[in-house]
Amino acid sequence: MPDNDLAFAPREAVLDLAAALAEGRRVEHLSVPQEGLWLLQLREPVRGDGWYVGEVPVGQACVALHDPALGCASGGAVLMHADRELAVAAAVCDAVERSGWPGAEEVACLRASGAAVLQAAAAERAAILERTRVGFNELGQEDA
Amino acid sequence: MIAIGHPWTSDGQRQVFRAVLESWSRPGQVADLGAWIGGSRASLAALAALCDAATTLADPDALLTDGDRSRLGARAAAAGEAAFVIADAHRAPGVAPARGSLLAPELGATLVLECQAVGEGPALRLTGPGIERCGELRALGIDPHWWPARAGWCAPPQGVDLILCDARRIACIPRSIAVEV
Repeated sequence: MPDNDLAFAPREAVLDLAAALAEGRRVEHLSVPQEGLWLLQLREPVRGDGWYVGEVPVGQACVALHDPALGCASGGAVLMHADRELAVAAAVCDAVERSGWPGAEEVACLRASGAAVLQAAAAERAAILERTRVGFNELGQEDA
Repeated sequence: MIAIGHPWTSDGQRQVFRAVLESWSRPGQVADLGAWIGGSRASLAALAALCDAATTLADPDALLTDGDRSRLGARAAAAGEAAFVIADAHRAPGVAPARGSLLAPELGATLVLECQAVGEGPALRLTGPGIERCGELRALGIDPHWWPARAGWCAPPQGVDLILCDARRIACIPRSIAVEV
């Protein structure tokens, strides 16, 4: 979920970069930016009934950037953060990066910094999980 | 923040929703939405307060821009089936909107009519629930065929609810109200 990498980059850095990228350009909101909870619905396979497995905090935005010289670029973001402002900023960054406009490298750097935070968290979780591993082999038996 | 303005802010939509609710309960009373519509028209502000992705919208006269339709988030539907229909009052009515059924009167459509002026022009005489004796609503720029058509659509609890809009103002005529021109 590359969108979500930006959610783990420093928030102020994402907002500042988006503000700089929007400077001198018209930002058109293609949908109304939202923040709140998404209900995750699953459908059980026998009767096909839907049921809700849980809720996820989400911020989402979809924008088009209009540049007098470069034309139009559109981008969107769905972040697992109930933060409308950050979602709009991430959507602006996404538009610039998708279109390869000047500033795309800075967006890629921020994305990479967010991905690094996510990877570090995943590694930390994996280490904690590893310590909880239980062996069910009978005494005296070797691991397969 | 790269902000979005009225009529798309949640604060503004709450205010407009409140004004629409107030207008429904006092048929014919004119409400000014000017503070909450930004650069758009009152009809768009009313739709922004009422529509979401769970609703359906028809725009047979192409009064909305593609961007507005996208921001409203409502699914497009035919005029005879949509929960909300926006239409140009200057033109004669086209397809009849959904009237609901006796078992599901809530499926009757809400018709948002774009008029030249609300609160000015020829008077309509309103009687029914929410009006003491007889009320009056002035509206300009409505094709006269709308009123007999509406009378044919409305047989409470079935029927069509009207929101008359001009640039800034709205007035509501629920399906339970009798209108004399």
